[in-house]
Amino acid sequence: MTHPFKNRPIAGAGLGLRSPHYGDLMAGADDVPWLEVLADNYAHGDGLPLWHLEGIRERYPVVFHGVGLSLGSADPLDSAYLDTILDLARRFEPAWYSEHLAWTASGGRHHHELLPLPFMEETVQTLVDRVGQVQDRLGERMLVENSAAYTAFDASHMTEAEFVGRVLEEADCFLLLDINNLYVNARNHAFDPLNYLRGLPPHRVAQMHLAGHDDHGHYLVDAHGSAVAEPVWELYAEAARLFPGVPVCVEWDRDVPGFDVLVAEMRRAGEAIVFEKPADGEVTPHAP
Amino acid sequence: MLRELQEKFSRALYEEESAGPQARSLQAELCPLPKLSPGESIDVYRSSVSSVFEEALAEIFPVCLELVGEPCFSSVARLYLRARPSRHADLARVGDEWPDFVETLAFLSEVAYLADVGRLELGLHHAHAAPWPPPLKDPQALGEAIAGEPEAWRLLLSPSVTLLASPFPVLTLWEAHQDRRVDRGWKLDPAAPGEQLVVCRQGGDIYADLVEPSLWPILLSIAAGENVARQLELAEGLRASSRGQGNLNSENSMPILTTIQALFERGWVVGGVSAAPLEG
Repeated sequence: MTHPFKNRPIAGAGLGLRSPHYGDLMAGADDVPWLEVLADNYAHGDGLPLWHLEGIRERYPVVFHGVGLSLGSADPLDSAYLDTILDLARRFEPAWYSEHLAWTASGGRHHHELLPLPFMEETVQTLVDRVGQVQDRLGERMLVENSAAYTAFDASHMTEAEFVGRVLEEADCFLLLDINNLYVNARNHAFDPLNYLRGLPPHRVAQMHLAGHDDHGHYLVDAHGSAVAEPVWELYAEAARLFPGVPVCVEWDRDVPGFDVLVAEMRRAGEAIVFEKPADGEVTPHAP
Repeated sequence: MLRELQEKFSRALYEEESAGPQARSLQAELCPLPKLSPGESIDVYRSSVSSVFEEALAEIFPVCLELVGEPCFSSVARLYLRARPSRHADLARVGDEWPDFVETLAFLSEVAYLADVGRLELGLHHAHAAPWPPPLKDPQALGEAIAGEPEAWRLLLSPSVTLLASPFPVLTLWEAHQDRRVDRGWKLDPAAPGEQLVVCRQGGDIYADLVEPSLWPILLSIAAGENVARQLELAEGLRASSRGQGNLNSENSMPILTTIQALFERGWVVGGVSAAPLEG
């Protein structure tokens, strides 16, 4: 299967766009090849946020990422919010749009937090239906991200890897593989993250995420407020080998450091990307 | 089943007690993780949801946070979270009802100005992402048209404008926090008069400014969508009352047009449109 996004200008390691770095980016950060825009941050109006984003977009290719669509909710899809995201997408032409395999709203109440899903048939079908609705409106396929979860449901009757694989295949969408979320889940739920990686369909992996987590001793939390941890780098190296050429984005949302710190993380991530085709893979890499 | 699970989860997130009946009901649906019990798992999410709301509110209302201190601000945020559920996917709108909510809390009566400082900060927050006003193509032609037929025109405030009349000197208070006079012993004078102010974004600059008493009714009239003739009446009435006279003098209309020009220059007024005929 040929990767549908291979001709888009997203390759190597990029950065999650955060407002403290507008100045650095507008001054010309030549070695930042692309940016991931958290579309929700630009969905509440016009004015200065979109003015800044226009300036950024003139200089950098972007992808859109979302947290507020509540893809896994049993509520009807929030079509007004989706319209806002689609309007932004028409205006800024991101290479692709991604959202989370999670829910953030129920009964019309928004929790603004990525909440866990039971891995059961009904959830798969809910996601397949809703991803389908988004893809129909978008006019192309989207990416879904594996989320961190700090609990498990009695109702679950498949593993997370099986669940993610089912959604990818049945919704015919792609995976934003968050390596930190995978590591956090592997530690909290005690499973082997390498088995998880090896079970993923390589032709569905379109982007990766790296971020820091908080260690609370007996559990980890995906917090995006620190550097990528060494065990996550190690897991990422294996993912980069299994999914050659797949672009990766470094995220940092809390206690955002200086731009140079983020760029150093981004460069380290870029150095691990493998561009040759693996012997047993069928993926067409995102070679620049 | 998914809906029931999510509803149960939602209720447990906002329950006052961390091990209350809603949490216990949810626990029955959860499996323990190797090092995290179902109760601890629920607490992770409760704490996370709370933090997201508190951080979002702290970003919108930084001076309010300073006025009451972090523990109080966090308590109020948790009450707000339970009392006023977020009904929009956009987290930037989470503070929209916060000033009205804090006004209802009796234990905040000692900081009675908190709600109005909140309204000021909410105005600044909204000004950031307010739409750009449509460009004014020919200001001179608009000015002449308005002067010739003031009853046929109404002025448009900038989409970024918030008007706030407070019985407290909220802008003075807010500014004392901006330039850190509060750290050098500045205290609010309890006898200081209230303030009428405007929040606006002009270009990329977002600011709050006091409004002269003579301008305030005119701005309110513009905000209410009344025509320019009404604003002329208000200006003349104010001038007449300041002179101790009761009659309007239409020959003195130039000062209000000069005032309107000043409103354009400040960016508070951004255009004029045909006034709809009065109903009734």
